[in-house]
Order: sequence, then structure tokens, then C-alpha cells
Amino acid sequence: MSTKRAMAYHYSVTCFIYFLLLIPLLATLVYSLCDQWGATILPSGFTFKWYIQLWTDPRFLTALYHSMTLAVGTLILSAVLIVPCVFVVFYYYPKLDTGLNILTLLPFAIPPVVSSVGLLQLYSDYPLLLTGTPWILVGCYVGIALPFIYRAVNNNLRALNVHDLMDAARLLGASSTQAFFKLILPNIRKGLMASLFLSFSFLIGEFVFANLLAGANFETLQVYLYNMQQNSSHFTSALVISYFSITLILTLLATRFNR
Amino acid sequence: MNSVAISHLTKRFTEKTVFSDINLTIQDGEFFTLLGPSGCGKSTLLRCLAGLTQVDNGTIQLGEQDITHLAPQKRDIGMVFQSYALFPNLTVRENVAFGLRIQKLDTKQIKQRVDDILALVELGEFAERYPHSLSGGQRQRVALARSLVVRPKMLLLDEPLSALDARIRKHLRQQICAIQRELKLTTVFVTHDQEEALTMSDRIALMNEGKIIQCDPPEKLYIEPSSDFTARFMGQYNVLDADQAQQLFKESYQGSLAIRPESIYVFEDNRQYDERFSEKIAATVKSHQLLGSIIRYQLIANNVELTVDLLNRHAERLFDVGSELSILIDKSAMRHL
Ligand SMILES: Nc1ncnc2c1ncn2[C@@H]1O[C@H](COP(=O)(O)OP(=O)(O)O)[C@@H](O)[C@H]1O
Ligand SMILES: [Mg+2]
Repeated sequence: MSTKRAMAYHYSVTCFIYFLLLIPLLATLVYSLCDQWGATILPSGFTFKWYIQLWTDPRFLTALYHSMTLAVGTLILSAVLIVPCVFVVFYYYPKLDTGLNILTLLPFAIPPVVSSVGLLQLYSDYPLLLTGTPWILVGCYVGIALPFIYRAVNNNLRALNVHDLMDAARLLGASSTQAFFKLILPNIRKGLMASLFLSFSFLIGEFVFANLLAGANFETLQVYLYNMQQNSSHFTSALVISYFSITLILTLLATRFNR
Repeated sequence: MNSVAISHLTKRFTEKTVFSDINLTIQDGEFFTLLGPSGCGKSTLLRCLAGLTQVDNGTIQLGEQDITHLAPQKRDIGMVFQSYALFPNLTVRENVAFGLRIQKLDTKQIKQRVDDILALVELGEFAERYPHSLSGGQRQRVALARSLVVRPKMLLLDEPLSALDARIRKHLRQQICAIQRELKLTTVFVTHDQEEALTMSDRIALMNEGKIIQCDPPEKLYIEPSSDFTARFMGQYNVLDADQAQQLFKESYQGSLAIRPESIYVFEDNRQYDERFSEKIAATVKSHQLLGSIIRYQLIANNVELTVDLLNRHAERLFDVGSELSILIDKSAMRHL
């Protein structure tokens, strides 16, 4: 009896917290779906017109395309650069791990507003004239993805008996490269994918660097959202819900694919 | 053919010399064991043979070939690790096939050889399982199959049984020996367990602190220890220094003396004792442990503590703590060190 009541209690607390977290989202959803919601308690008129307006706006579609390609491109580049690097440090130069560890903390330690000033200074001049182009964002975002990927890969490698596995593979005739691709990579795949999707949702939502470094020249979703503020708030609600749905769908796909 | 000659082998890590000037020869098809306490350098020596650790000096010859500086991939040496080191992302079949895939053999041939070797280690029905779903003993047999399937010239085993429980260990011990004899494979086995070494090996090299103390067949190593380290390590040998020996026998001795616990007898009235035996010595029982077929006593005789093993045969032979008895020592089985 008492366990049943305890269960009911746990259940209701969980539901309540879920509800609390969902309120803003639900409110935004309702708001994005109604024609007007001004002086009345209940909204008047149900409509898809904000969504239609949004999804037919070429500027929005361009921004979406920019954000997606930027995030995906960055993550591919990060994976190609960072995974072998973390492995080499872990396996061949374990002493460098402390340095790498500190390096991965820098993106968190320095506020984006500060580091973007530095990046602007560095890349606004010949020979590295990158400001205003997507390339400066790619470079900057690789730095942001670094801690996520480093943590995940490093933890996975620790859980794996890397030294014995590599030794066993070499004695069976495999080169270190073969052993890396056939044995190490498949075994860290799950953690790597998880960190890539985490970085993805982070990068899609990144605003400060996108606004300061590329701004109007290369409008991303977040910058577009910011620039649309003076528009109808029903419209921005539709934008927020669309943005949220895209991330949600991608994350769900990712977890399925990962199983 | 696949004999091994190790000469003047030396290995240093930055601040520590693990071993220096090791010389050994291992016969073709021999089951050779490196035995010694943990930390004495057995694994390092084995890894030097495999090429996983670079040597600082000396040479290793396998058959006709000098392999001292050859990459591990090119040595044709198989190795089994204490940690199994199975590839967790591959099934048993894929694990075993790994080496053959690297050699780019055709699929049919690979399947045939994998099936054969899995049958040899009695794991045919587990071929499609993943390592995490196997028991320790099964994992180690997969590791054994994986290193045998490529037909190495030599097999190295680094404490392969240490992580297993006692019953499985005994069974796998016999299985390893049977397979080794069948394939006539030159084998170097590393262990810190003297019983394991004694039961499995053709020859044992006893190591301590990077030195080879004695290298002999098991019977000889056990019965004729050449140093007190061997005597103490190989059994429950009573090792007495000259003073203690003199106290015990009331005659003067040079150097130390090793007495096996099973060569000390309790005096019985109706038995004849020939000149092999010492005089009767009075002793007191200090403690005893039942070890199954034998009972091990700690006795005090002339103020010298002795370990004595008696066969667990008659109930009336169980001496209580504090009992007074007379012992005789088989002097022909004593070793002067
Ligand atoms: N990679 C290494 N770096 C430094 N010292 C090592 C390394 N490997 C082993 N040693 C040292 O060498 C000695 C022998 O080790 P090992 O060969 O593993 O002993 P065993 O296998 O007999 O227990 C130990 O004192 C160990 O600390
Ligand atoms: Mg060892």
C-alpha cells in the first residue's frame, strides 16, 4: 500500500516537473497557431498562416541551409581532426594529455564575446581575411566542438583496453592504422556519435559568434531569429517551434540510428 | 626449426633496469615456462620476444632468423594476454578470423580454418556470440584460437589463467598442454604460480629481480634447488642457515640447508629406519592445516621451526597443537645450498 502511494507521489512529481518545463513550449506552440491573441483571455482564430509565411520566406530557407551546412561541415571536420589526435595523444603520448585537457577547457573559460573580439582582430587583415565569411565560423566552431568530442572519445578509450587490443592486433599482422580503423574506431563510435549530436544542437543554437563574426553576410538561423524580432511575435513563435522541431527530429533520428 | 636463442638481452626503462644479460635457449616444440614473483620482469621479457617492447642490448634468434629488431607484425609469433584482449566489436568467429583477414586469404579458406580451430578449443557452438557474453574460460580459449589460427612459429602466453577460478584453471591448463603437444608448438608460458609451472612445463626458468636463478626441468627444479630462492619458491621447503642446521642436528654445518616438508617423518615404533635417516629429534606441534590429501604441520624442534607434510591417512595420526612427538629427517633428500 505504502509503496503504491510512494509510487503515485513520485509519478505526480515527475509529471509536474515535465509540465512546468513544457509550459513555455506549449504556450509558444499555441501562440504560433493562432491568428490573434491580444485583449481576450482565449486566442481568437486558429491558423497555419505564420508557418506558411515562414516556410515560404527565402531568407529563412537560406538561413536554415546556412546553419545546417555550417554545423554538419564543422562536425565532419572536427571528427576528422580531433578523433585521431585524441587517440594519438592517448596511445603514444599520454604525457600530452594534461595539455590537451587544459586546451579543451579554453572554449568554456573565455566568454564568446571576448574571444570573438580577438578573432575579429586576427582575421580582419591580410593575409587571413576571413571575417564575414563562413570559414571563420567553421574554424571557431571546431574549437567549440573540441571539448565535447575530446571528452567522449577519451572516456571511451579509457573504458577500452586500448594497449592490449593494439598489441593483439599488431601480433596478428595488422598495422597500427588498420588496427585503429578496424578495432578502435568501431568501439568508440557510440560515444563519438553522441558527442557529435550534442555539439550539433549546441552549434545550431549558437548566436554570439555567428552574429559578430559573420553577421549579415552569412545569416544563420539564430541571427535570422534575432533580426526578425520586430516582426509579429506569432511569426517568431512559429520560427521557434520550427527550430525546436528540427533539432528534436534530428536528435531522435540520431538516437535511433545509434542503436 | 623454431628454436629460440636469446643472448645478452638487456632492457632498461628510464630509471630502472628490468633485466640485463639474459641468456636462454628454447628448443623447437618445447613448453618453456618463465616462473617468478610478480614484478621480476617476466612480462617484459615476453614482450621483448613478441617485439612489443624494444630491447636495449642483445639479440633474439627465432629459427635461423635474427628477429631482434623485427616489427611484431613480421615475427609470426602468437600471444595470449592475461586480459584476453578480445576485440569487443567482433563476434567470436570474426575475432578468430581477424589475422587471416589481414593476410587476405579467401573467404572459404578462412571459414574452414576458423571452424577447425574453434572445434579444437571446443567453441564451435559459440562462433556467432560476442566476447562480452562468454565466461572467462571461454574468452581465453577464443584468444588462444585467435593466436593459433595464423599458425605462428611460437606461442607466448602471459599469465593466461590468472584471472580464472580454480576449477576452470585446471581444465584449461590441461587443454593448453594437450593442444601444445598436438601442434608441437614452441611455447613460452609466463606464470607466478609454481604449481602451474610444475604441472605444465618441459622446462622452467625461475626468475627473480630480472635474473634467471635456475633453468631446469620441473622434477629437477623441485628436487634439486640450487639456491635458497629456488628452495623457498618451489615448495614449502624448510631453508635453514648454518646456525639453525647445527641447532637442529647438533653437528656443525657449512652453508644453508633445504629440507622438503615431505622428507620429514614422524617416528613410529614398529618401523625400521635405515642410515638415510637422522637421529630421532623431539618436536612440539605449533599449528596445523588440513590441505586435503596432506596435513601440513608447523613443528618446533630444538628451537627450529619446521614445516612438515604428512599424508592424511589415519585419523589417529592427527596431532593436536602442543603434542610432543619424535621426528626423523631423510638426509638423502636434504639439499646443501
Ligand atoms: N612500460 C614500463 N615503463 C616503466 N617500467 C616498467 C614498464 N613495464 C614494466 N616496468 C617495470 O619493470 C618491472 C618488471 O615488470 P613486468 O615485466 O611486468 O613484471 P612481471 O610480469 O614479472 O610481473 C616492474 O618493476 C615494472 O615496474
Ligand atoms: Mg606480468
